[in-house]
Amino acid sequence: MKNNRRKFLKHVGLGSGLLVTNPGFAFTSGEVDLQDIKRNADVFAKRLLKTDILIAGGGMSGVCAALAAARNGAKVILIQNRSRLGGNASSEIRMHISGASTLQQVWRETGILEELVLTEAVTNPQVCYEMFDYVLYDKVHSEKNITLLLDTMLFDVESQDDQIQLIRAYCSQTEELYEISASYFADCTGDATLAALAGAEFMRGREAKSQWNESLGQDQADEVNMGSSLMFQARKHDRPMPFVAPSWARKYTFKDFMHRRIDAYDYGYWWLELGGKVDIVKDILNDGQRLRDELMAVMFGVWDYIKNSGDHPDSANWSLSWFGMIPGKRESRRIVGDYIMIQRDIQSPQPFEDRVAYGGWPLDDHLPDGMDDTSKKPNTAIRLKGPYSIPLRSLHSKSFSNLFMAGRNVSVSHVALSSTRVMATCATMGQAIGTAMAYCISAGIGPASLSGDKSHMQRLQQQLLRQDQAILDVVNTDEKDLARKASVRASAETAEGKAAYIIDGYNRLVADGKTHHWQAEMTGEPWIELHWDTEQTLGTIECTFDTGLHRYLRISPSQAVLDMNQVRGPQPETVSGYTITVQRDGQTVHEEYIDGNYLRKRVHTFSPVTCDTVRISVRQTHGDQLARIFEIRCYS
Amino acid sequence: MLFMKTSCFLGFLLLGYLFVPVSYGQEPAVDANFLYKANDSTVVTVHLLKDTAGVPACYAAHLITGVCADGLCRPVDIHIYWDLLGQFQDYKMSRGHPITKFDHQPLTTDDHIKLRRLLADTSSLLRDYAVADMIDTTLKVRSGVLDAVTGATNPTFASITVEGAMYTVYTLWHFVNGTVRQQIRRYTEARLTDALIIAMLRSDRLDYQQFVYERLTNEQHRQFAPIILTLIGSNDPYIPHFAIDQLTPELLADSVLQMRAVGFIETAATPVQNSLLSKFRNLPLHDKSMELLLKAVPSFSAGQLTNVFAVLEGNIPSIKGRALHTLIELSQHKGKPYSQYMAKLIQRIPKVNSVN
Repeated sequence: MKNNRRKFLKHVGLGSGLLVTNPGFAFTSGEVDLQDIKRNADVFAKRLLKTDILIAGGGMSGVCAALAAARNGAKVILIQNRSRLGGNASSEIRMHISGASTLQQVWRETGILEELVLTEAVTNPQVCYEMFDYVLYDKVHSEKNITLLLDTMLFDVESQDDQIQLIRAYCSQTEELYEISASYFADCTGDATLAALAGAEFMRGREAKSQWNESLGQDQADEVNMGSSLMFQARKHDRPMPFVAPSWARKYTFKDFMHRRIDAYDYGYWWLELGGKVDIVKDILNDGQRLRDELMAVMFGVWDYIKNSGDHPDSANWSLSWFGMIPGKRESRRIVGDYIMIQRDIQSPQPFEDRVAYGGWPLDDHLPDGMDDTSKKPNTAIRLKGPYSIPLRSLHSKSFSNLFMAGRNVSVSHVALSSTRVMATCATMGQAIGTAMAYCISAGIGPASLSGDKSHMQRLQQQLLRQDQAILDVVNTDEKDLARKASVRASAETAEGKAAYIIDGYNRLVADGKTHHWQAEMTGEPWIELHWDTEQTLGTIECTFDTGLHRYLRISPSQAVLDMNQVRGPQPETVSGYTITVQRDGQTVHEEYIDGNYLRKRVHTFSPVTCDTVRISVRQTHGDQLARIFEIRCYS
Repeated sequence: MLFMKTSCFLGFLLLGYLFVPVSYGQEPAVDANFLYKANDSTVVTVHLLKDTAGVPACYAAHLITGVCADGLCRPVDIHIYWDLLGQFQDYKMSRGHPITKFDHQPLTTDDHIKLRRLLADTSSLLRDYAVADMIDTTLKVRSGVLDAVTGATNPTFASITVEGAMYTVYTLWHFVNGTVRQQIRRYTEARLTDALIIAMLRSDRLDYQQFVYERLTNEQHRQFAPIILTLIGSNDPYIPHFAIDQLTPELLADSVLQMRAVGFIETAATPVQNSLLSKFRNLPLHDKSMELLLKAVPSFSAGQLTNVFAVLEGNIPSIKGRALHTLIELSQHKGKPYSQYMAKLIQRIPKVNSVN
């Protein structure tokens, strides 16, 4: 199929032969220069681009990878084949960003994802899905080191030995052809398109139990995927809204919903899904057009049942207000990395030395039949006892030394994928590889040298932790953090929230019975102070606040989900107004007033000053009666 | 339901107190047993128990096995019972051999209630976790009778075990929900006589009925259609729908069967009414059936009437006699959402139908 595809692309004039070989550009910082156009007499404009990191795929993992890499100094080109970022989470598909919150413990993911969902919750109280797209666009567009190419489809990859050299992509909207060379490539396509085009080893289908001793595996390996879903939204009106089903809609009756609950009409339903068999019938990839058509027949058939069967008379005033046309995929290809995560890694968490992210979604395997067989339950979800670590070795390719991956296409078994595939987990993988790629460039080492070297990994983990990526059982041991060497005192503290916790190395709850943050009653302006016996030079102060990680926080078209223990807006525990006062011998040498904060992690950078004391005074929270700060870091 | 429960209960008496695992029916089933190898060290004989009429009722096995890895509970000596499809039903302890938990303490009454519920849960986490992963090795519990400590149950799994009896629960769950389930299904399938088919259809259990439906030949479909029809009147939310699904156009062409099916429509639950209406759409209705349907019209909601009308539309040429009289009556009901439609419908009925 790959050959056929390339032949097709060459036939229509998109093959590599059309591109002019031309050295790339010399980049220093900022976006890639798009000015140099080679006009093509055959209509298309050709651009030869060079960057540090090429990221294919603008879903949650690709967005987080791009932001992480760019913020760590790398120049990034992010190509996305849609006109919106977010992938399955975008307004085009509208799946929930699910993750470890489902453990109902304390494990909502932090880092860039937390920044995104907090920003979205505050920016978008109206719960408009296009505004979610906007938040992602704004974050990416505002990052000077990222060049965002929307509507841009990857179609070709060139490699030499174990190095990917360049990719080619096409934007139909602008009639541009891109040839992009990079030091590192990240496959965040979900389908592992980049890896497959490069010829990297990948897996598909479901493995046999015997392959990795997985009790949840199949008796015999097969070539079947978890299904894809189409979603819809509906709105209630003040008068009856009739619906006439198209002739191609499937027909359903009461008994088809024995295992599938229709408990609301405003958003439905994750079980509107059909599976796929690899390269046979309804292949999610190569026969996706048919799969989409059949999913449309399923979705409209279910809505016809709701509206016209008589079983749901209270649906009379409801009408469809939106429906998806792009199936939200759960599974396609999985790239083989240096480590393949399996069932045991999910159920019995391993303390991988190269752990860089975590997951917590159940082992949630969806049966391939989906709505083709409603007599069966649509999925089997086996809940986990706690979060599990994800090693970096599962996030870089075994076949190519400059290929990373994040998302559902990482190096996991089918069984493990049933947990790792959800978008909050994918997003944290994205931050991990974005940071890792920047680290590799900076350190001049390859992925295997990074994930296989304990000291490098410790540095990477500390870098990730500082940037608020949570990694299980990794605490702040950053030698450069001057706060760790300070003495701490506060105007007040609670029995559970001692002032000393602010430098105990933890920046979040970890379900060990301790709060790991300073708490003080909001009477007056409680403050906490770091003091050094000797003068320090400070240019950066970082604060980590409480954003209620024990709750859900995610946009949803479902009112029931929005009402499910989440706060749409600033989180009440978060410090909104605070003052940073830096002093030397009792004299203020630097001061900042911050109002309207809603983020968990805030970094304050200023011209370095000599000082011996840093005080954070809390003026206001978003409603909580306690001032809460998890961590303060100080750097020169 | 009563039918099956009573049968198995009598079986418990025999197995529990006489330790004679044989059929208690009028015709002892001499061949009614097979071996179940739960693991390398546990092989038991599974007996098929029959009711007084000699119809298979349930399965039973006598299990004696060690159930804990730490030596802090005693071996179990119990009789276990499954239904005809391999679903765990109950257990009964042998006299003098209580099931014990940590430190040899017998299970309490509440523990037994919980254990029965846990063993019946086929999708329990017990299926999917290794027992070692359910123990929190960071927490130790010291024995009061032995110089030993054991791991505590991880809090995540507290709801799927009996406190202090994790190994026992785990071992028993895997015994009762192991390959014996498939063996029992195959064993039952091989003995699917007419008498057993009737018993399973009348069991008020959807899983039994579906098991039968999937195995009926066309001839058996016709043979058992009268029994299947009665299931439309079940109070279970799903049994009527699966029964309706069995009614093929060929079966419903029979005037008696059709009339009996339509006869349920006036008093059935709304979703069952809707399924019946859906089934009758495009189906030629006999006179009596049409009359019954029209008499039921006042019982339908406004939303359902669309589907009633759809059934009538397909039968306009054949509405006559008492059905036509009923239709005329309906058209004269004042202020009803169907009367106007009925009046218009009458105009479309061939005049010849009005004769007599």
